Amino acid sequence: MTSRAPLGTAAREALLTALDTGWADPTRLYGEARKAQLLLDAAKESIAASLGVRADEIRFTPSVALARRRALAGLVSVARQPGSVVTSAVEHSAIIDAAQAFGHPVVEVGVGTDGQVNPNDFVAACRPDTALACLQIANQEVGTLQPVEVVSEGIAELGIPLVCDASAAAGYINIPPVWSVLTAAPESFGGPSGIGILGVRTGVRWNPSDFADESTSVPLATAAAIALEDSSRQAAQHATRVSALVDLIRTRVTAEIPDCLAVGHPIQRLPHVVTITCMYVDGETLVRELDRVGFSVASGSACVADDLLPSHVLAAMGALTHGNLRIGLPWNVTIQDVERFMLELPRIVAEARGKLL
Amino acid sequence: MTTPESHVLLDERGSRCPLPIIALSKALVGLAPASIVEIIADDPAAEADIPAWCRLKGAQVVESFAAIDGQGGVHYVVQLPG
Repeated sequence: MTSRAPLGTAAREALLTALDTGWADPTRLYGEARKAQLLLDAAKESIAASLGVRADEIRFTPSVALARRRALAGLVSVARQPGSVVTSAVEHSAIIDAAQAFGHPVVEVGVGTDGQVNPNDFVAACRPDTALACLQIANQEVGTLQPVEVVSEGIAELGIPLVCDASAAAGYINIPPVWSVLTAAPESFGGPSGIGILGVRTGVRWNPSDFADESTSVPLATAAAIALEDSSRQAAQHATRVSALVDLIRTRVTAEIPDCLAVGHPIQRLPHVVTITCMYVDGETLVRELDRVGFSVASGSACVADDLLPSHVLAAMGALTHGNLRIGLPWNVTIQDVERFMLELPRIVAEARGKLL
Repeated sequence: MTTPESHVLLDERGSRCPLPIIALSKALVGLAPASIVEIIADDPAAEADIPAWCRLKGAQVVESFAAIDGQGGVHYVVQLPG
């Protein structure tokens, strides 16, 4: 599951246009197919420019889930020996599941209560025979940034490839080009769902297997590229303002609602994500009641999840796994929106507690 | 001389999060500092939530073990802040 943002206006227009102009199989040779190939090349160039890498280092997959699996599988299949896979304990569950599927020993590096790995611990967990290391750019549930630059430097001399899942971060912050392999989710930055981005740096030993442009939806790739440009541009314009609103929510929930607190790193975090824990309530009740008054938020609580397993991210942080709200602020959020949210939330929390206590 | 510490045992097997935590927070009302509260819970979320709640409240899980009555669940021994 990836937190989704609505399709942006520019991305929507690009998608509609490309449905007419980019319908053909880009690997064929007739005129319409060459047109599709040009659109696909332009999408790769645009995404590469947004990420600060080369166009031939960008690929598309039919989903971000598949991008994650292929990211790892392509590295494992060329590993010289079945060495360990090192990940943070708070990677997306699809990364952890994919890592465990290879049968290599998986070493999970723990995090502090702010959700951040200690880079020294992470590097120390890597061995000369480690097949690959996975460290997200930012956490999908609490927004905490990970020290990918320090880790990348630390493991470079061991020659270990670094997989960075940027699915929560791309489009919201600049992604440092320190990764060997990168995954990103257009649906989370205002692009379409049904497409994933996979970056592989030149010189990284990675098996493309049967990878071909044939399986790429050119209209979705085009819309993804426009969405990333658009969100990155809006980030440059709005991130400081939105981040200050996140600070305001973090401060006010702690001060104004009994037994409520903000979780995740207070400073080294995404500009638009705030996660709050309200003790003694279940997150789903809060989500339903907030939705009723016009706020769409997500719950990190597991009380209604099919398997009843608590969020591994929150558990790894030593945080409560119930009563959590993950709020992703859109770039056009206003102080009035935040004021209204802070007017509704204390009442909703009090009512939800009243039902349980 | 201090009065003897209070001691409470809660059986929260079958109740889902956040109910075990609510029971825990209710139980400590009126207890002396450093009292012991024991709670048995079988919700998988309790494994994370009981230590997390203790951390937030300055309490600590002194020990935890599989419930000895054979009825399943984990038995947590929690000490309130002194």
